[in-house]
This record gives sequence, C-alpha cells and structure tokens, in this order.
Amino acid sequence: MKFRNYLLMLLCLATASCDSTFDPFVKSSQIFTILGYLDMGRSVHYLRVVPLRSVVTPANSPTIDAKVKTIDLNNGNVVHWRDSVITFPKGTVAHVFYARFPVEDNHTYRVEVTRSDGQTTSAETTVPKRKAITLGNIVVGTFGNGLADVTQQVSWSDVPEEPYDVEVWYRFFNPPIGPFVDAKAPYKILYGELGKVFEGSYAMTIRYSRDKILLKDKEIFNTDNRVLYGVGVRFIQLDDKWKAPNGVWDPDVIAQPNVLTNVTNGFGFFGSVGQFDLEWTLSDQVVKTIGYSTPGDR
Amino acid sequence: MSFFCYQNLVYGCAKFPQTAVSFSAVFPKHFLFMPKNPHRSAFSLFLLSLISCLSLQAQSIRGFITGSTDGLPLIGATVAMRAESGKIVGVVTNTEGYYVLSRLAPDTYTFSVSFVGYKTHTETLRLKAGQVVTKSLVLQEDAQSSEVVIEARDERGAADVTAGLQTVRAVDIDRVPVPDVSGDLAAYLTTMPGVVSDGDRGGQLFIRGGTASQNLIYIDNMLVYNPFHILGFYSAFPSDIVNKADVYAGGYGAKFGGRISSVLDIGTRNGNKRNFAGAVSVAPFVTSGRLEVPIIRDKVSLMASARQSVVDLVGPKLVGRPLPFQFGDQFAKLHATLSPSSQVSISALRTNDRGIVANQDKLSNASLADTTLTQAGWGNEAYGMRFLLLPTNFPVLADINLNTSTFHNEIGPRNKPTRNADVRQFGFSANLSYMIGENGLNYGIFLNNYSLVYTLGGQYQNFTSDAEYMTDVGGYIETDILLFKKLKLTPGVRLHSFPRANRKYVEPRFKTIFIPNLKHKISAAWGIYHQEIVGLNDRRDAGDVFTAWTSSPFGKAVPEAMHAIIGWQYKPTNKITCSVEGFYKTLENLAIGEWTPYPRFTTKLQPAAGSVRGADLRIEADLGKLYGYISYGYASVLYEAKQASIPVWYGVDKLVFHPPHDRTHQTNAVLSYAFKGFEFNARWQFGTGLPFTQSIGFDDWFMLSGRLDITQEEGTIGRVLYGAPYQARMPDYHRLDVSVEKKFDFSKRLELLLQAGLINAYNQTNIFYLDLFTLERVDQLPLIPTFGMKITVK
Repeated sequence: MKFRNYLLMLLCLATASCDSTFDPFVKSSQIFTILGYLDMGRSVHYLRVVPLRSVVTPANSPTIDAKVKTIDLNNGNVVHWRDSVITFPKGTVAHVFYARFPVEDNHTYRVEVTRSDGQTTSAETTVPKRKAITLGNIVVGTFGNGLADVTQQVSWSDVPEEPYDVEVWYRFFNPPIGPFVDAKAPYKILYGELGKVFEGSYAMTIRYSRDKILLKDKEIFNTDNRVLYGVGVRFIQLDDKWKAPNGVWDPDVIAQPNVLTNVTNGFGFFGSVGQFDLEWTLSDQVVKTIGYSTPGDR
Repeated sequence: MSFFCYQNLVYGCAKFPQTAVSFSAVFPKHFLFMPKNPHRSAFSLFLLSLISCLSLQAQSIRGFITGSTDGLPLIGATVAMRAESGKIVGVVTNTEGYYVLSRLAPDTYTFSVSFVGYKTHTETLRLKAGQVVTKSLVLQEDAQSSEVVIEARDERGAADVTAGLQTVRAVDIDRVPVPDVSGDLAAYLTTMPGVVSDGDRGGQLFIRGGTASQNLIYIDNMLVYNPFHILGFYSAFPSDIVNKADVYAGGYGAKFGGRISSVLDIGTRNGNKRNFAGAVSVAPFVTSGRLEVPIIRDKVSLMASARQSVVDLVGPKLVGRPLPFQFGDQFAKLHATLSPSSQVSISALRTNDRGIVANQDKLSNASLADTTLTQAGWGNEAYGMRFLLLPTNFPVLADINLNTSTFHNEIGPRNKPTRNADVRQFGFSANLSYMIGENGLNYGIFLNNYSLVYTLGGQYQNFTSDAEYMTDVGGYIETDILLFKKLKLTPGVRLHSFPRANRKYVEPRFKTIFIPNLKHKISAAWGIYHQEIVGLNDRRDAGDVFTAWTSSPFGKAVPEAMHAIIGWQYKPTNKITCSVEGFYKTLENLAIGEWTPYPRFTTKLQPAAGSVRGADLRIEADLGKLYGYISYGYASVLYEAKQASIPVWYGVDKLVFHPPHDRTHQTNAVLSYAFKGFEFNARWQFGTGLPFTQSIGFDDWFMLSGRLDITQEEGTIGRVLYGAPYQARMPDYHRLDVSVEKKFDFSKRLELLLQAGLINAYNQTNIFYLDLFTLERVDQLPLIPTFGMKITVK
C-alpha cells in the first residue's frame, strides 16, 4: 500500500498542469530601424524607415504606419518628410522618406519617426562645424625628368582627424560645351591618404603638376590644352558619432543591432555630412608652370 | 577472494578484451628506439621494462565460457582454482565469456566453473612451471538447478557507476518505455543524469556538457558517427542486439581517444549457435525483425536484425498531424569460434534517417515526398572484423580489429541539398590485455585514415567545398595495479599523432578505485583528451542536426579537454544501490559558430573555451517484482566566447554564457513492476529549460558606411535583432511514458508479447526547439497511444 501511495503522489506531481509558454522576444520599446543622413552638400535628404516585426519575412506593404519629421534644434524649424515606396528587383519594398531643405553646419537636427499610436523612434545629429581652410605658399620643385613639380599645401584647422573624403577640382574654360568644366579629383581614391593630422589641423598637399598627368592617364579628364580658371578643395566630414568600430567597416560586426547606433527607441543610424570648400585662382605664372593655359592666352 | 577479482576483469580484460600479437609486431623497432627523442626513448625503456616483466610470468589459465543452450558467452560465470594448499583464486568471465587467472604457482588445482542455471564444471588440473593453459568450456544447462544467491558485487545496474563508467544491459534498456515492443539504448541513455537530449526529435546527445560530435561511439569496435535516429526514442541499438553498452561519461582510459566528451562502447550479442531463433514485431512507429542462424552448430552463427520506421504512415492517425520522419537500421553479425583459443566476428551496420525538422507551420502539411521542403538526412555504414586470440604459451588476450565506417549527412531540398558532408574512415587496431596475477596490463596500437568531404551552401551563404585526408596513428598503455586487495590504480598514457598535420599528442590518464568493503566504493578518474577531427554544427539552430566533419579549424589549437571525476557508491543492502559522482571538465580551443544577425548557417567560427561542473545522483532499488531507479543530475556548462568583435558588441573581452545544451537540473524516474503476469513500466523525466537567445524582432538593414545613395540600397532582408547570446531559458521539460506488457508462452521456444502504452501520458506541451532564425517554436510529440506485438522464437 505504501508503494501505491507514493506512486499516486508521484503521478499527481507529474501531471500537475504546467505552463510551457514563453516569449522568445525581449520586451522592448524599439519601434523602427532608421538609416539615413543629412548632407550639407545636397538639397534632398533620404531616410529609410523599417518597422520592427516579429517575423523574418517582410510584409512588403506599400504603406507604412509612420510619419517622419526633423526639427532643427537651433532654430526650431520643422520639416515633414514624405514617403517614397521603392521596389527593388527582388521584390523588396522599401520606405525611403525624403525632404528638401538646406542643412546648416553646427546645427543639431532631431528626426522623429512616429507611429499612429504615438510611439516614436528618434535620433539626433549635429552637423560638423565649419572650420577655416587656409592655403600655403606655392612650391615649385622638379621631377626626375626635369619638369616642374608645382604643389601647394592646404590646411584645415581645428579638426581632430582626417576628413571622410577630400575632393580637389580644377575649373577649366571649355567652349563650345559650356563656359566652365570642372575636373574633380577625388583625392582619397586617386592617391590614398594624402594628408595627416598634426596639432589639431589637417594638412594636405595639392600636387598640381601630378594631377594634370594623372587626371588624363586615369581618363578622368583630358587636361591637354586646357585654360585653367581656378582650383577648389572640398573637405567632407561625417558627424562625430558616425565612426566604424575600431576603424573597420565590417558588415558582420556592424550588423549587430547595438553597434553604430544613435537611435532612441529603435535601431539604425541617423547621421549628417558636412561639406566645406574653398576655391581660389592661381597666378598666370603658376598656371603656365603647371602646363595649362591662362585666360589671357585665348 | 578480493573485491577486485571481478574488477580485474571488468576494468581490465573485459574493457580491453584484446588480443595477441608479439611485442615486436605491436611496437616496431623504429618506434621503440628513437634516441634523438627523449620522450620516445623513455617510452621505449618503459615498454622494455614491461616486456621483461611479462617474460617472468608464471603459470596461467584462460579461456572462453559459453552456455549449452545457445552457445553464447556466459557473462559473469565464476571461475575458481583451488590449490592443494587450500589457496583459492578466482575471477568471473567478461562480456566475451573470457577469463584469465595468472601468476599461479605450479601445483595441482581443482578447477571449477559455475553459473546460475548451469551444472558446475569441476576437474583437476596440474600446472607445470611456465605452462599457459587454454581452457574453453561449454557449461551444460541444469534443469534441476535452484536459484543461487551470488554475493559478489554486481558491477552493473543503473546506479552502479565507477569513475564515469556505467554499464548498461539489455534488461535495463527494456525497462524504459518507448513506442516499440523492444527497448532502445537511446531511450535508456536519456535516463542517465548527465545526458541531455534534444528531445524526441533530432538524434543528438550531450553528455556532461559535451556536444554530440564530441562523443565517441563504437559498436563492436566499429566507429559510428551518428547512430541516433531522427526520432529521439530510437538508435541503431535496439535491446535485442545489445549485449552490453559501456557508457563513459568522462574520464575514460587510454584505450579511447580522438573525442573529448564521452565514449559509448557497445558490444552486440552473438547469434544462437544451437538453434534457429528470431523475432518479429510490429508497433505504430517501427517494425522489426531479427534472425539467428546456427550455420555450423556450436561454431558459427549469424545474427541479423532490421528495423524500419512506419511512423510517417501510422503516426498521423495517432497524433492527428503528419510525422514526416523515416528511419531504419540493419545489423548483421557473423561469429565463429575457430578454436578454443580464437574467435572471429564480422559485423555490419547500416542506418538511414530522413525527416523534416522545419518549423511547425510547415509540419502541418509536410510530406517527405515534397522535394521542395527542407529535409535533414543522414546515414551510417560500418563494416568490421574482430579477431580474438589467446596465443599459445603467451598469456595474453589479443583483440585485433579492422573496420571501415562512412557517414553522410545533408540538409536542404531532397535530391538537391544545400549542404552535405561525408566522412569515410578506415581503421586498424590491435589491443592486448595481460593479467599479471591480480594486476593487469593493457596496451595497443591503432591507425585510422579519414576522408572528410563537405559542401556548404544556403541562403546568405558563400558556397564552400573542401576535401581533407587525415591519418591518425598511435598507441596506448595502461596498467591495473592492485594494492592491499582494496585499492586499484590505473595509470595510462595515450600517444597519437596526425603526421600530415604534424601534430602529436601525449594524453595521460589515471583512474583509481577504492573498495573498503562490499558496501562502499570510491572511484576517481582524470585525463587529458584532444579532438583533431571536429564536427561543426551551428548550435544556434537546435533543429539543424547537420554536422560537417573537418580537421581542427584553428590549426595547432585543437580542442582539448581535461576531465576530473570523483564518485562514491553505497550499497546498504543487496537490493539498493546509491551513488553520487561529481565531475569537472575544462574545455579549450572549441570551435563554435560566430554570432551573426543574419539568419543562416554559418561556417565562420570563433574560438571558445569552457568548463563543466556538476554532479550525478542515482538510487536504484531492485526488490524482485518491483524495480525502481531515480537519477538526478546537476550541471553547469559555461563557455567563454572569444570572437574578435565581442568587445565592440558587449564591451567585454570575452563573453561568458551557458550554451544551448546546458540543462541545469535533470531528473529521471524509471519504475518497473511485475504483477500477475503483467509487467508495468513507467518513466518520468524532468529537465529545466535550455538556454536560448532572445530577440527584439526582425528588420531589414544595410551598412551605412558613409554617403551612400539610400534609394539604391536594398540591404539584408531579415536581420535578427538578437539580444546577448543565451541569456534566457526555455520552459522546463517533463514527460511521463508508461507501458504494460504481457507474455504468452505457447511452447518452450515460442513466445508472444503484447504491449500497450502511452508516450507523453499527460500530454505535456514540451518545446523541441526555438528556430532562432525565424523565432518560431517547434514542439515535441503530444500524447501518443502505442501498442505492439512481438513473436519470439527462442
């Protein structure tokens, strides 16, 4: 009898109702993933908005329960963005919001993506501040073949690190196509790291004579018999939160949701791009030394 | 008789029922004498010392004991030699029916062999100086015998565990209810406290914190990669063919190596050498048949067994939804007694498994005939020859094995799998066992050749294909030293190398057993283990049983483990056994899948280290008609992941977490009760929830690495927003299985067994796994009524 009692007790314990439900999802207030940036150099800005979902396959719905606006926290200006539905070749539907407005340096912008129930994902970005660009003296050296090597240093003061990108452009007079033609030299792509940061300033050297040769050799622009009107430099800087972890853009690392994000109640990144430029003219003597023609030569 | 008379066999010869080749053959001169290498020289000197020691061996007697009813080995028969001086020495036979008594003084002895149910054999033997006698006997059945109570320690049973080793018998297996008339070793293994299973699907076992690919599995000394079927109740080892299974949950001796978690060493029965015998059975999940043929009476027998699942046909009618699983296994063994001192057996095993281990939504209308669905499939093929020899004039048992084993597994649409992997292994081993009085010496050499081929593809996955060829060669030596009749020390060392990879391993092992009296046994084991050939499995996806076998992915940093075990066994009476065993393992150089938010099988690996600590408690009561066994296991498995990006992700150098097979608490209760011709069996199991990684949800994403054109970036569709890995646990698991059966004897040789039962008797909803890519839940089987019938010709 004793054994049977124990057995009955065991069975009662075993058959007691047990809840086996559980939630594979963490309770969270995250609403949207947002990916986009404001660009000082562009008049239209874009922001991809992805609502978080509980299934791996996206709904690919043509509508999205989201309203997007940006607020310039420096002056209170509010801009409402519009949705554009983009369907990619594989059938993926993306909601890319856009707005047309000028972005000012050193202004802080707050983007808010709000669902109809009032839940909001937000992020703030401060556009990089304009810094002074100063030109150094023209230096005329000599290549190994005896030709002149004309260079000039450009400094960008009060920057802690080298810029995201640097462009140098040459403005030529080029009838009958148009009055002027720019030959853009994306320096980072063409030459790699040209400058360096020293005592809080970024300094790089524009190598006029070499550019004339390389722009033609790399089939970017035929520099033969060109009339040079001016030269410009553009420093492009990402905001100070927009940095790759350990300096490496590794998608396997950055895909982790808590990496490279400045978003509240959501994921992704909202950044800003500052573009700062300076254009100047070279003396006729320098232009001729480089190998171009001057306007007076027409 | 000392307490170790039996132990000598069980832990000496029986575990190393090996055979004889000469020393020069086992350790060629170039291996023995390598003066430029001090380690080899030391080893050579050690061997020479042993050889010198062996040459001093005095008179011995050894042989095989079989029964007259079926010609099968008698396991545990008592063999005794009484000298004229009155001194008695004795042993019991091992699973091969083998015994050996050595270091006997030249004398006239009364030699006797006894076994329950058989007439005791007695004869007078005169041993001359230096004589080695081979005495193999067939004991005659004694119809008049009454039950004899044997007071010697029975070294088997659910609670009898010695330094990590538990020996499982067919009768133990049959006590665990499964949806079949015959028991299955897989079901029994999951009652052991340190064994964690995926559940009733998946076919993977995790032993004391190790992973499935870290288990070494032998059947008749043939390596098998995954003998567990896709339904977790079944393996390639039905109780009908199992003679015994030694389960080393850790701390295994120098004979075994190449895996760092555990060893499952299964010996099968020989076929009946006297009569035709066999059985056929039908049950809702499987049908099976077994045939035993005495090809040459008392000398040669054949046993063949086959099982085939019918679960995909019958199961849906029982559970109301498709059960898209198919599996089967075939086993055959030809055994021949060549002479009183030699035996040979040829074994063959084939298994096949296929099933849909996808999410439950797909299961609702899933069919294996649908070749578009993702299916997992695997199969083993193993062939082996084993030669047992007692060389004349040399008191050694030699066990020589030749075997080949292949394993194929794949996943993806049928006929066009996205991933597949194959392993082909050829192996040779020669194991020798030598008894020096009450001490033993076991040693051997081995050579294994592996071919590893895999093709990995899939969504978001770069196609990878590779083939590798590896050779593993080495040897081991282990001694059993008995001190004061109560303490046995077993030091050993295993040396092996992979010449092609230029890697060598020296693995010391040690085991000790202290038996102060018949009630207490204290044991401990320690060892170092390496695993050069590893199974890569993306454990983020518990439903994915696919394993790619490859060489160690981190070069010389091969997976390494240290095991330490200490245990105490207590027998307050002959009917009750209790044991408790604590264990600790360290794990180094593990290769685990890198974490990635992309829903895909990953072949990118990160190094990890780990530790396992825990304790097993067992209580077994055998009260005649009532048998009960309760086990409790506590374990804590901790991994330290060292993926380079962890500091970026979590702000720490390494992430410590519990891997998905870490079950903290586990309890099993098995009950068997014979009543008025019926036998009731029940098994209840409980386990705390397994770790898993919670998620916040899914989104689409691209890397915003600068001034991209947002309108042109499609990105990754379906990023999983994981939280920190394995910080949550799934619900606890528990289930009751019951069965009742009754035998009807129509004649002395013809028997009918009827069985009925309930699997998951109270219909508990237990989670099988959470698909971490889709976060969908897949549950284990619901309440299933089972019934079966088996006709046996004995």
